Amino acid sequence: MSEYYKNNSPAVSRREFNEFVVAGAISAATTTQLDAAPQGRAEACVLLWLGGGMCHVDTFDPKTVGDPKANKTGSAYPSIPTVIPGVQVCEHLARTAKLLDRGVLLRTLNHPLKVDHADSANLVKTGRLTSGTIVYPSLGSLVVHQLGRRADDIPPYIVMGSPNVTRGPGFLGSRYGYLYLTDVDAGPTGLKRPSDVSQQRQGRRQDLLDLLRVKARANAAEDPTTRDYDATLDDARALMNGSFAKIFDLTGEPDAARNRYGSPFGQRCLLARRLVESGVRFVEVAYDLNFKNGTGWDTHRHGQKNQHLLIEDLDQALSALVEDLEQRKLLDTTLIVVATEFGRPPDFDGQGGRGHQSAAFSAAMFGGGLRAGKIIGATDELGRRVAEHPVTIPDFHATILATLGIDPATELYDGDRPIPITDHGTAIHELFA
Amino acid sequence: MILSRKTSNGACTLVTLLLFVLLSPSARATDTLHLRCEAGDAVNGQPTRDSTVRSSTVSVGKLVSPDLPNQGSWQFDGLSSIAYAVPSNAVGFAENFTWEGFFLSPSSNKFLPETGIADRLLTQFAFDKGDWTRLAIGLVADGEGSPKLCVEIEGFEGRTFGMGDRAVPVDRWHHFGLVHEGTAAAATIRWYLDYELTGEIFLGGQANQNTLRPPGKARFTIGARLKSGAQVNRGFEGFIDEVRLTPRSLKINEFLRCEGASFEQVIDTARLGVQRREEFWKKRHQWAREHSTRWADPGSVRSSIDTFFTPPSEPIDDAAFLRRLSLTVRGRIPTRDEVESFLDDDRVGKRTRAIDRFLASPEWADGWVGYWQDVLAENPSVVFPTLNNSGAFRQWIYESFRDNQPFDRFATELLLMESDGSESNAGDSPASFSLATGNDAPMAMRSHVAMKAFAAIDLKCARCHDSPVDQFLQADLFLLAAYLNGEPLKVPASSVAAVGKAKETGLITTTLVAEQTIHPEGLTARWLGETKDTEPLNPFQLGPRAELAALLTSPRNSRFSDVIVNRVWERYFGSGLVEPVDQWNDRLDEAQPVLLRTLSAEFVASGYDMKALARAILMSKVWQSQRKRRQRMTAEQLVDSLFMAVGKDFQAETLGVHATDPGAVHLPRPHRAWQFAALPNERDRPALGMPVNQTIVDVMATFGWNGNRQQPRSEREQTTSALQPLILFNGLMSQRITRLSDQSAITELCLQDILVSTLVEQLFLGVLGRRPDDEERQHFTEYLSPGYEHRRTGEPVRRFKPLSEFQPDWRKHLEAEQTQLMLEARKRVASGEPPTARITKDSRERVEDVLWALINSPEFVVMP
Repeated sequence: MSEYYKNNSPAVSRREFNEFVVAGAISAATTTQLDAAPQGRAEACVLLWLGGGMCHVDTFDPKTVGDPKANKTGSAYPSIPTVIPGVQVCEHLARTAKLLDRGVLLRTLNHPLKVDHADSANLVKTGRLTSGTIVYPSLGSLVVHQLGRRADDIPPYIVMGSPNVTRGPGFLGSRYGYLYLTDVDAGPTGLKRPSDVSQQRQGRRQDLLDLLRVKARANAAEDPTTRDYDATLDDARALMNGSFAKIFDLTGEPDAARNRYGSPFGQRCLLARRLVESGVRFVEVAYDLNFKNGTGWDTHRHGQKNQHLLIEDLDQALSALVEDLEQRKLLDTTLIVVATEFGRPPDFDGQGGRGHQSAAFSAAMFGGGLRAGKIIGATDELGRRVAEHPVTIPDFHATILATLGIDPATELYDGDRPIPITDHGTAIHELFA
Repeated sequence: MILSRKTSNGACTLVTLLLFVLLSPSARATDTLHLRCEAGDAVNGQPTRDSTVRSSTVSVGKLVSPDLPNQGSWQFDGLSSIAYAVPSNAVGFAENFTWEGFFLSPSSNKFLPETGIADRLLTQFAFDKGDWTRLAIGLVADGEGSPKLCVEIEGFEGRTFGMGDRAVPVDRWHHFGLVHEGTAAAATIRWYLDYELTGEIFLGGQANQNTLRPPGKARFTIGARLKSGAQVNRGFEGFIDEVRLTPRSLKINEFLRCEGASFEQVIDTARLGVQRREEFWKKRHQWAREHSTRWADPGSVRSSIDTFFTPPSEPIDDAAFLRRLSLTVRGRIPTRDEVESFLDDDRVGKRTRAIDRFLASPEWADGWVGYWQDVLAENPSVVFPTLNNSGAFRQWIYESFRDNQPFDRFATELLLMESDGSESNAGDSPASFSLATGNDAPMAMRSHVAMKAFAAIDLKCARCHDSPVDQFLQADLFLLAAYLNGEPLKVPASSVAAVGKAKETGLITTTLVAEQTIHPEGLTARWLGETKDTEPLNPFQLGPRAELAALLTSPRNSRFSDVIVNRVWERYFGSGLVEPVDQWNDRLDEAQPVLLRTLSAEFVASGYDMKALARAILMSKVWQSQRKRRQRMTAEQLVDSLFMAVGKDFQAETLGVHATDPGAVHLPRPHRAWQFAALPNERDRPALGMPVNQTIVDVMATFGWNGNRQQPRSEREQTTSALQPLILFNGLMSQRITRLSDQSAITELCLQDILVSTLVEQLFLGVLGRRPDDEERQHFTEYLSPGYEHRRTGEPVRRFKPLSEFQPDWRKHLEAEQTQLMLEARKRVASGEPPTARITKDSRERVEDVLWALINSPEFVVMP
């Protein structure tokens, strides 16, 4: 039997190594400028995720008008002025145009992936390329990890969309995962009593269960696993019956509000407002259900035909959310991010639609205490390439994190491996006071 | 190797070719393509320089055994083909010709019942200048899914399709022959399977206008993959040999024959290959017994695990024992009949009998798959796999455990990464382990997984730089990677840590340079212990992978057996003798080193027999005693137990969307929880939704399962959260479990002539695995009594359509209608199975309430 087990003492113990690195980090900090990282004061974030690849030249970065039918390169729609002098957006974003001074447009997002939606979405949501050694957490998980809960009984991270790994906590673990729903009426899975179970019936069930719980606790008196699990039964009841469950009930909202938000996507934005109001830290609202044009934002071929319906839908919901938060004096402390996995080229694909483009595309941010009314970066004449001030995905992440008061130079740890919270991203200075 | 002739003119070649065939009966000896090309065009069988010829990357079959007829045949993977340009007038296509060959379609091929020859094209001609016509022969599934030999002619006039009259057996060599007789105006095509007529089509004349009108050149493709418009269909997967084109219509007795051997003999050769492997492993285990360094006398006393522990506390009672045993070994709770007969069994030795019975059950395999999926990072994707995906190899894991494969053989076969004949979407084999998408160095990733799984060595850091805290260099990991690659490997630039704070401090070093080539030689596995002489372990010299596997699993290398024994211990006890089980780099404390060594030695002596090891553990008193800390059920155990307790099937959707991307999988409908995979939700496309699967996967994810296994892991998170009981309270899967539909075994139970107190007892036995105590019996009987006498209504059984009616389809998922269909399906799933009408509503609801309480009790979820 070899002695190799005993001889494998490491050169440096893990603890010593970590101390060394931390010391190094501190010394590095003292020798560089301490005002390097801007800090915002937003407390919550709503991410409006337009899956499929929103075409930037048809929305936030309009160019000369082309014609899909004639295969003429350019924007599909004419543009209109906004409240920011000299800045135009697509004509279907009329309401948002009037509110642009509450927000900023990032017109020069870029990354190297453009073939597949899944890996591009993963890149934009986690800020990282897939790695062979680690699963990176999503923006939502990062924010919740750094800032924690805002309220005790309120789960901090909610997703209105389908559960998938791009939204998940990665190496941070399931504590930083999310609760999700795909149907606003039904609410998150498991939160609501089934429709065929009345209040009384639920009560009777719980009584039967309580008897069994007494037995379970008695039969496994010393076992911490039984005890812990049993305790969660009460937590679950509290979630079901407490204030959290009521947030999802939109029937209390006045008709005017529900109409102002409009479509199912709009209703989800309304729910996002309620969640933020009640203390949720991060809400992702995915534009996925009820694709108005079959393809959603992924407007290849015939998908382009009804894209304007999507844009109008976005316009209505986004403007409603901004105004609503502003009226409730929550806009300064709530960051709204409008993002997508890549843009689309100004050319048409022979059937009137567009392919994918990641060399330059747009995102928008509203509220959050940012210095609003700014346009960051410019693309070239037809929106194919970045002309000035490129913003990488890590920069995008750094900006969002900084807005929420998180230092983009923070290091997380997976075991003993240090992992910077962004991949060398820098927050955009002009957006911070 | 392809034999071909360089000749000076066409006619001569023709004659030469025929002469060659007729005069050399031993033409069968090596693989031969009897295909005539234009003089000067074909050189050694390489595709012609004609630019219309498509790519011809073909993987020639990997040797399973030197005696198999596969040697020298072309192996096709469904994606590649060989194409040749042929001047059609030279062979007189419009008139008489014969086209034949041999093929073998493996049983791993999944034949989807689609019409059209788009599936599994064997070979085809396409005339693509001027008038366009395509003649193809291939395998297509009939309505019941069995493959038949079919012929298709497609051209501007439309399409004519003919299906052979009998099914083509898989895993056997067959002869196919197609004879065209006639003129450009009218012709007959007959095709033959194994020298018997199987189909006939008439062309031209009144029947149809689709005759072959070939001007100029034709493209002749073998193992074809058809691309029609945007759709790319499935090419042939399997083996093809000796395709021959003869410019006249041959009679049956003139067809090619399998030279020197009948078909029966061909199959025997295949069996011989299998037999030789068995013999090899027998010899190896004999050698292991003789050469294990652990003890002088290999036949020594079997240890008793109990002698290593202070006498344990009371053994757990029978009910708890059976439940713990069933969950541990079979991955699910025992049925109520099993519980009842066990509790009432008075004979001596019932626990031993139960242990043996469960170990012999096929469900022993079900109990293990989920664990090894996590450890080996099995991560298939149903759509375009870009997020660190592997292929699927869960079925291979299952079958290995079903066969109680010796574990050194399991590890070896995994590292050899051989496919079983098909490497494409339907393939489930160790070859899938070689895939690691989105990785700049897939073999480095696989080395990491393999070392962690089988040697408890964590090389994660070494991916990008030398480990700062262990002694593993980056060079070590990449050497392993080169061995797994089988060939020299280049270190990608993205795998070398460039800058960073730690690098500047000098603490992080990298021994490798970007683009450096690492050769698979010189592996000494110094951390695996001394191993010389891998010759007896690797007699076929199957390359670096086999060498690595031999080093790793050598009986002289005690690390491997120690690690595996420890893993089994951890699974059965909740914590290992060495912790963590997958990382022994700094092994500071270890409980019971002598016990581990003893068990490990016995493991090797038994031929790495997992069942023998399991039995030794399960028979011990220490295993059968009370635990201070119990384990919660795993996600798979929970789901399987819930469905089994009420006798329902998942009614899951197929885990596939007909995606054609290489590497995407199409998995069958799950019937056990391990058969699930991550659902294709990354694109937020509702038409790719799987409503039933989602309800089940949600429960699994809440209880620690992760279908997205990008990283290997040996332990699941044990965190508790309110979301767990919440989903069992109100989730859709729970609603299905509790609902007394006509699918539920509980409905049948309620309809029986039994007293209400018996019903209570049966419900407890079926869900909690024990009888109710007096208080419970009384309380629940009272609850169920009202209306119980008149619970039966006499109504008939209600039929309903399966919940999984909607099946997402990649080819249609951007159509608005598909989204609608999915949303409707989701609504149906949300309303669940219709309740039975055979029991009164009130009685039914009471029983459902009792069921609900039982499954939500902590006693259900926590293993005794």
